[in-house]
Amino acid sequence: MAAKVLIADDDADNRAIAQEALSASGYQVIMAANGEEALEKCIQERPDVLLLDMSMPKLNGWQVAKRVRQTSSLAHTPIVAFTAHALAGDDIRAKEAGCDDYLVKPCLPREVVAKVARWATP
Amino acid sequence: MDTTLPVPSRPVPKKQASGVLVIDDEPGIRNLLSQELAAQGYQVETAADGQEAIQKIDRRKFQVALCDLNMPHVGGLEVLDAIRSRDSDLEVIMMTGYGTVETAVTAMKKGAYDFVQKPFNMDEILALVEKSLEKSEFRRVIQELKETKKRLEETHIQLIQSEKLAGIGQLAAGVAHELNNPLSGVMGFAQLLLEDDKLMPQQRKDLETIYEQSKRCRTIIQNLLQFSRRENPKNEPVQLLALLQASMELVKYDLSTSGIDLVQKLPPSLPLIFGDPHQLQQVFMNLITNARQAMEGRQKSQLLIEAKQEGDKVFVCFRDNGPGIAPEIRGKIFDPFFTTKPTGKGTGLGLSICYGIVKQHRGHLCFESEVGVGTTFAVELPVYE
Repeated sequence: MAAKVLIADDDADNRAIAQEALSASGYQVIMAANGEEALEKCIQERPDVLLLDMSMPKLNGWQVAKRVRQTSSLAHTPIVAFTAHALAGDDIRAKEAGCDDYLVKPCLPREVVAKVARWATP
Repeated sequence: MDTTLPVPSRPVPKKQASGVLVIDDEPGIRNLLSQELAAQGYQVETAADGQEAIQKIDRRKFQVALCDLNMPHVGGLEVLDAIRSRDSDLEVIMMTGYGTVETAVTAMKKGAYDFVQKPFNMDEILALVEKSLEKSEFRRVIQELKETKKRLEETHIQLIQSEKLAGIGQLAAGVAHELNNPLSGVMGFAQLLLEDDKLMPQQRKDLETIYEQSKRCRTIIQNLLQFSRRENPKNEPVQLLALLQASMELVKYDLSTSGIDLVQKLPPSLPLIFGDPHQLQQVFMNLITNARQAMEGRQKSQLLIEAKQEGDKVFVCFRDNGPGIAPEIRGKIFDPFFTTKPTGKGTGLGLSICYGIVKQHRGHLCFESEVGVGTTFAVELPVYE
């Protein structure tokens, strides 16, 4: 069975690009448009990788990452933080929030696939 | 920013520290004056003629000279000229033998402090010496005040510059952040479309242009975000010498193909710096690239890279013999988006980023330039204790 990736991003274009690229590479893709939805889908769907935008409405990525880590069934789900901030210290902050990896926007479809592939092969 | 400024001391002349030179061909007068002045606490030396006087003035600093007008060989006026051409601070009191007021007036015009007529009254001489010392003390204080004023003005300009840059940085970071998402869309969809094998050649070409240009936008945005960074991504002891050598290794080839002679004046060791090695390297590379571009196509181009420690600071200087920076744009070169390069060649962010990085390292980035001679950029960084 193909590895399952949850894309959590409030930007529809970004979701569409990541989805298209990951699907084309053989991943099964599910999507969430805000933090609450992301958390719900994480619990329901148990994705193999969570691609998590850090600035989203309702619950932001930082909060989602913390809650995912506090949920015992999800404690080991790899999280790739996806942020447009690219600010100094964001990589450290992401690690502290429980993320395993870090991807700076704007990034290319191929970069998304390469990053996800580090954590789960399709 | 360093804003400690010297506070001028009150102009009280200190007799103990004041050197007086007595110049007269008559031994009696020399002895009398030197005894009286020494008794007052002055450090007195004597000279029997003009030549000896000039030799002594060249050897040490005096505050006051008492100089006889009529001396054989080198006369008093000539000594005065020699003093004026050497030391503008030394006060000269002329001593004239017999009613030669005209000559005394000439001496005053040439810059003597005052004159006394022989035979003189000792109190009069002592009063004059004291007054002339006061004058030189006042002049010293005025000089100090002028320097303080200049430093204040420079600090003020620096403050305005860093305030301006900070403001622009915040705005730029906001704009860059907002642009990131839409740009993700442009770049991402362009790359996805390019994966399609059934594209017409013209469509592929157009898409490639969209893709390449959006990548350029991404670079600009990343530069902007870097420029506005407020915190240090890394804070670690940095081997400055190794970092400089590594930077030069990277540009050596570029410089030699551009016909630029790279001259290094690096000491065998340099102290540690605290900060981010990648950012510092970026500063060095930027300054070297700017120098290379400034000298491109010129004859006998040379880039001198010099590093040295002075007290608790390290200086790294990049001196080129390019065309120099025109005076009218010197105030703008650190402004974001200011560039003299042709459109598309530079973003105008290089020096702004360098300025920001050096500031974050609690250092200074400054330059000196002369049109037709060249430009020197100096990076000043505090030593890591």
